[in-house]
Parts: sequence; structure tokens; C-alpha cells
Amino acid sequence: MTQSATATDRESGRLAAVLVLGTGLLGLMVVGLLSGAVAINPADLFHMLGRRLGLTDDPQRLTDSVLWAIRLPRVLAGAVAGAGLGVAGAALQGTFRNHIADPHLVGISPAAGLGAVAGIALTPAGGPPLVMMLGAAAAGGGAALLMRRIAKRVIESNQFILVGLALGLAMLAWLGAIVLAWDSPRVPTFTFWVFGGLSGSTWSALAAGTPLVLIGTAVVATSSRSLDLLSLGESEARHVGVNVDRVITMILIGVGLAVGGAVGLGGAIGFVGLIVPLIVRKWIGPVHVWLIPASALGGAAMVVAVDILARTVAAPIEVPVGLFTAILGGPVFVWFLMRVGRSRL
Amino acid sequence: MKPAVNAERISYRRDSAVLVDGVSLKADPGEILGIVGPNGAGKTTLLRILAGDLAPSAGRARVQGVDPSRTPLQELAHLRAYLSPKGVSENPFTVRDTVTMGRHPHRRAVIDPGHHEAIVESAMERTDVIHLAERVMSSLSTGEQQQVGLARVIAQETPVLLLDEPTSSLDIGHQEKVMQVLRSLAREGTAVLVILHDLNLAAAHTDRMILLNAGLAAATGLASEVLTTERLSAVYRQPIEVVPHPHRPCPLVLTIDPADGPR
Repeated sequence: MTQSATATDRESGRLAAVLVLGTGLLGLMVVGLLSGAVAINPADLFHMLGRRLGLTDDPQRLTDSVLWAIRLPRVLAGAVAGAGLGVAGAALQGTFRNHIADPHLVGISPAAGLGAVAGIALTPAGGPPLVMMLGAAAAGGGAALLMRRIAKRVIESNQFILVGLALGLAMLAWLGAIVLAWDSPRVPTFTFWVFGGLSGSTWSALAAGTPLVLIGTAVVATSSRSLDLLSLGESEARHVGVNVDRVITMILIGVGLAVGGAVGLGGAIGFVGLIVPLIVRKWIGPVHVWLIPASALGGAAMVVAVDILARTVAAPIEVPVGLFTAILGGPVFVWFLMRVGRSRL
Repeated sequence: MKPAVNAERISYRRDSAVLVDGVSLKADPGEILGIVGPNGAGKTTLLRILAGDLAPSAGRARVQGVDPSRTPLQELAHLRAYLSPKGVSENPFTVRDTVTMGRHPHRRAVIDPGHHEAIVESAMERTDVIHLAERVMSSLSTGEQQQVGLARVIAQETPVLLLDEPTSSLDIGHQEKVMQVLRSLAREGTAVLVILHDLNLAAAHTDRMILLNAGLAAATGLASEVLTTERLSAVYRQPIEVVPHPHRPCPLVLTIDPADGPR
């Protein structure tokens, strides 16, 4: 049958896109390991890997510790944070049927920042970062569920974004006030909560943040089919048997976990959750079973790439990652808003 | 015959307003029941009660023998399909994908995927959207989206169809085609409840109709019984004259100028 043939073509095209994204991500991660204030040559990378895997007894080189203690956790943290933001963006856009929804723009990242600071306050000095991450996830999820309540009352999609922006700015102001007043070395600087940053990435942060992002992604991914059906409209989805309220609550809890992990690892890196699902949807179409994993890979690749820029452009000075994503993302956002204004999407 | 849809004196109140006030109706399998009336008469509220979206404040609603407001959504999706007048304009899926979503309740029942594809194909053919199959929904006109919506609810293969103004954005040619599709579905045994603003479309293509006014059933019965000059002029607050249709065995409703008055 002809439609089966086109369906198969579409599937293999999507698989190819996921493979391209995955390969690109791996390549960028290798570049990310090698570039920075101290340049490292590829041979050292193999040397370090060989030593860590116990394949060689060669004496440790100086670059080993740079790679192991600094570069690798940093690159991984960028990838995990980016994946979380990409998944959260795709999930929010599907849930709210709003293609300009993004964890940053609808106030979820700023809420996660507040939750993270609360988590730090609850953790004894030198304690593990898990409570901080959980605080971020809980506050992020709470903000997402609050936005859902707001979306039920606000029908106009741009108004929804404006409400999210206003709430986000207010929370950011509170966050700034708390961070400045507290003034403790245990709390990351205000820049981290506004523009993100991966310079302080540690293995212990990764150990806490990665499971959150993975679980959040899994929760969202299991709702892929419901996300597809939600594109018909909420009551239409209900009429074909989707328990809309339950599914959306689940998805938003997943978003909270993914954003909590991402913000805990990399701070508030904006626009990744907006741009990545947008481009991926153009590329492979709107089917969420593909869109969610592809947005995870795309988000990871984007943050890893931008982080390479962030630490090489003005080396040895580091630029916060979120500056670059905002410089790239701002115009895309404006372009998209203009396009929406003209054609109602 | 056991009615497919049966409502007994159902009412619906929101705050202090009574949107539906003690309305009873019945639709048998194979029957097309038209729901007509002025704006704000309670037509959509009534249909949404039957769909299970709203629980009636009083009275009893039954669809295929069950209370729709107390039936699990998955089960309800096998009993009734619902089409609302306006689609979602930013739907990024193709027409074929959208119609396939109507198959969601049956996704586990049939193992052969070719079966679903065939049903989707035939639903698109029936509503004349097969040539749009690979187009993205958001690129279609409102009328085309409405036809796709009808294909989707047909693909859901339910014994009861609840349609809220399925012809509101269609030209008169497509309006007639949609009504013919509803007739063919009824011949296959489907009970079709359809809200229509166009009284002549309702008169020509429904078996019976219910005229709602301010939440009350102003009249129920055959088109020739419901659509009378005096009743319509009163309900619509507009001088109306009902004459015999020159070619069809049904009344023809005409608006007239106030000065002319009903004959």
C-alpha cells in the first residue's frame, strides 16, 4: 500500500535524524573535552580513558586530572542539562499547544532556581547536592502545574506567555534578592541563576542531576501518544479516551524533574527549550515518540556546543553559556512571534 | 428498539443561570436527530451533557444505556464521538495523522494495522478530504479542517455521533455532501445527533428535530411539525414564513421583512 510505503520512509527519515543528532552530540562532546583554557590533544584523551578503564599502567599525565576532574563532568553536565531543557520545551509546547512555550519563558526555570536555593539552605555545609536538585525539581514542577491552572483560564496563547514571563521575572527578582542578601560561597552567583554556567560542574552534581533528567524524560516520553492527541485540543483528546487532567499532571511533573535537574546542573540556560523542539519539529515532524528523544539529543548538542564557545571565545575568561543561547535565541523568538502574528501558526 | 440516546428531563445550571431546563430527547439507531434553536438556546450544553463532558444538574442522560458522566473515558470513546465546531488552528499534524487519531480507542483491539489504515482511508474518502491526506492541518481552510474533523469522528466508529455544527464553515455544496454522509452513516445504524443553525438543511436531512429556546424544548417532532411560521417567528424574534419546499417533501423556512408580516 502506498501510505505504508510513505509511512516507512517517514520512520526511516526520523531514525536517520536521531542518529545524526546522536553522532553530532558525541562529536561535540569530544571537541568539548579537548578545547578550553588548557588545550588537550586527542592522544591524551585515549591515554586518560585507558588509565581509567585499567587498560594501561602508564604514569598519570598532567592533562589527566584536567580531563577527569574538570572537562568530563563539565561536558556531561552540559549534555544532561541541555537534554532536560530540550525535553521540557517539547513537552510544554505539546501540553499547552503553544509553540513558543519554553521552561524559561513560562517561569519554570526561575522557580526551579528558587527551589534550588531553598534546597541549599536545607543542606548542611558540604552536604550532597541532591536536596538542592530536588528543591529545584519540586519548585519547577509546582510552577508548571500553576501555569496549567492559568492556561485553563487564559485562552489567548500570547497572553499565557506574558503571564509566565511576568511570574518568571518576579521570581527572578526574589531569587536575586535572596542570593545577594545571603552572600554565601555555598550559593552560586546571581549570574548562574540568570544566564547559567557550567564552570563549577562536579561529579557529585552529575550524580544527583542526571537521574532527575532521565526520570523526567522517561515520564514525558511515556506520554508521547497522549501529547500527539492533545494537539487535537483538550476536549477532543478526552473524547477519544485520554484522561487529559491526569496525563497533563504527569507530564508537568516530568517537566519539573527535567528542568530541576537541568537548572541544578547548569543554572538557567534560556532559549534551549524554545529553539531545539522548534527546529526538530520542522525537521522530523510533530510525532512526540520521535520529537522527545530528538529534542533531548538536540538540546544536549546545543548546550555542549555553546559551552565550547563560552570558554574559548574570550579565554581564559569564561562567558556564561546562557548569554550565547540568549543571543542566538532572542532573534529566533522574535522571528517566530512575527510569523505567528501573521499566520496564526 | 432500545434508544441509542435517551435524555429524560435533563437540566444544567451554572451559577444562577439555567442553561438547559428539563429537556427530554430520544434518538434511535439509524436516526438523524436535528438540534436547532437560536444562539444561547443551550444546544451545545445539551450535546456536551450527552458527550459526558458535563454532568446534568437534574435528570437522566443515557448513551447506549450508560450514564455518560459516570462512564470511564476509554469506554465512552467506544460509544460516542463528538465533533466541536472549531478545530485547533495550530495542529501541526497531517490530515491522515489527524484522522488516524480517531482510531485511538481501538488501538489495542485490532492487530492488523492495515485494518486501521483502511478505515482511515475510507473516512477520508467519505468526507472528500482524501486529496488533502498528506497536507498539514494548520495549512487548511476552516471548512477543510471541519471536513477532516468529521472524517476523524467517523473513523472512531461509534454507534452514536454527536456533531456540533459540522457544516458551519462549509459552502452549500459541501453542506449537502456532509448531510448525505450523515444519512449513509445512519443507514449503517449510527444514531446521529447534529446541531444545525441552517433550518432548511435540518428540515431536508434530519428524521426528527428538537427546537430549543432559552434552555427549554420549544418543540420536538418532524420538521413539518416543529418548523411553523408562528413558532419560528416567536423563537427567533424575526418575522419568518414557512412554505412547502418546491422539490422536497419538507418545509422551507424564509426570513421576511417586519413590514410584510406573516401571511
